[in-house]
Parts: sequence; structure tokens; C-alpha cells
Amino acid sequence: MDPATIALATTILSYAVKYGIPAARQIIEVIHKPNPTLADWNKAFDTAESNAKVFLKETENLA
Amino acid sequence: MKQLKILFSMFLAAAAMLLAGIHAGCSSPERTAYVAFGSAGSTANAAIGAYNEYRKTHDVPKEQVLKVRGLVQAYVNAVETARTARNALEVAKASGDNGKEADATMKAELAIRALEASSADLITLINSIVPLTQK
Repeated sequence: MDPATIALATTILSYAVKYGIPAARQIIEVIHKPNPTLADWNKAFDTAESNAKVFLKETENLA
Repeated sequence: MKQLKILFSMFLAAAAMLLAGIHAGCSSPERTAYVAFGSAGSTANAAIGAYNEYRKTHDVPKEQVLKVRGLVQAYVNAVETARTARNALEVAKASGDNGKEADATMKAELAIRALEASSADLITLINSIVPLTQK
């Protein structure tokens, strides 16, 4: 990974730490993963649909 | 304040997508797909969270919630399809059969692209509903 990318990622991570935003930290984890394993993929899939599942459950009475 | 944090996380996710695009040029196809999916998925996830908070604090029409719900359901289906395709690729790799691996790789790439498209539709809709200046 080149220095510019590291600098950008570090900046985003510092914001995430400052504001305590789990979503932003997850993105950083993704970008910094050099060789994603199947477990990494499954974790990313779980993250991608976590709010969606909550929303669908909370609105199921409207459907 | 919570809403602002969610919107800020969406901004960070968009920045990360840009970063991912820059970084994709020097990555393996596997890693490029992973970063593209991770960025799109995290952004869509943040957008859905923002809309879910918004609808609870505003008088939103049922039709709007149902419209978002339809896209969210399509997005979840796309995530599950991509998950299945990615797991199938892992099995194909382990088999040592180059033909199976090539076929599974193509299916996994198509599934990730479909997921990115679904994510983009969802984010566009939510961004048109939830104002950036919302308190």
C-alpha cells in the first residue's frame, strides 16, 4: 500500500475514533485487509446487512 | 446529534469508496472485489441506519417507507446471493478444478456487481429523502 493511501486511511480512521462510528472503522478494516479470507468476507456480508435486518424487522407490520 | 453522526459515517463511507477506487489499481482482483463490496456494503448499511432513525423522528408517509423497504429487501437478497456465490468460489478453489474455479469466479463477480448496483439504488433513494442538514 502506498504512503498516500495509508495517509488517507489514517485520516479516516482518526475521524472514526474521534466520533466513535463503528461503520467507518469497518470500512478501514476492509481497506487495510491485504488478503481477505472467507471469514473476512462473511464478516463483511454480516456488516453490510446488519441495519437492513433491523429495518426490515421493525417495518414488517407495514408490508 | 445521533443523526449527524450517522450522516457523517455516510460521508466517511463515500470517502472510503473513493479511496478504494484509487487503491484498486494496485490490487489483486480478489482484493479489489473485497474492497468494492466492503465499501458499498458499509455505505448502504449506514444509509439504511440513517433512514431508520429519520422515519422514527419524522412524519413520513407509509408509501415512502414501503418504497425504501422494497429496495432494502432487494439489497438484502443481493447480499445473500453474493455471500452464496463467494462461498461457492471458495469450494471451487479447494477442488483444484480450474474450470469450476473460473465459473465460480465469474458468478461471484456478477453477484458483487449486482450488489453494488442494488446498493447504489438504495443510497440514491435515501439521500433524496434524508436531508444532509437534518438536526
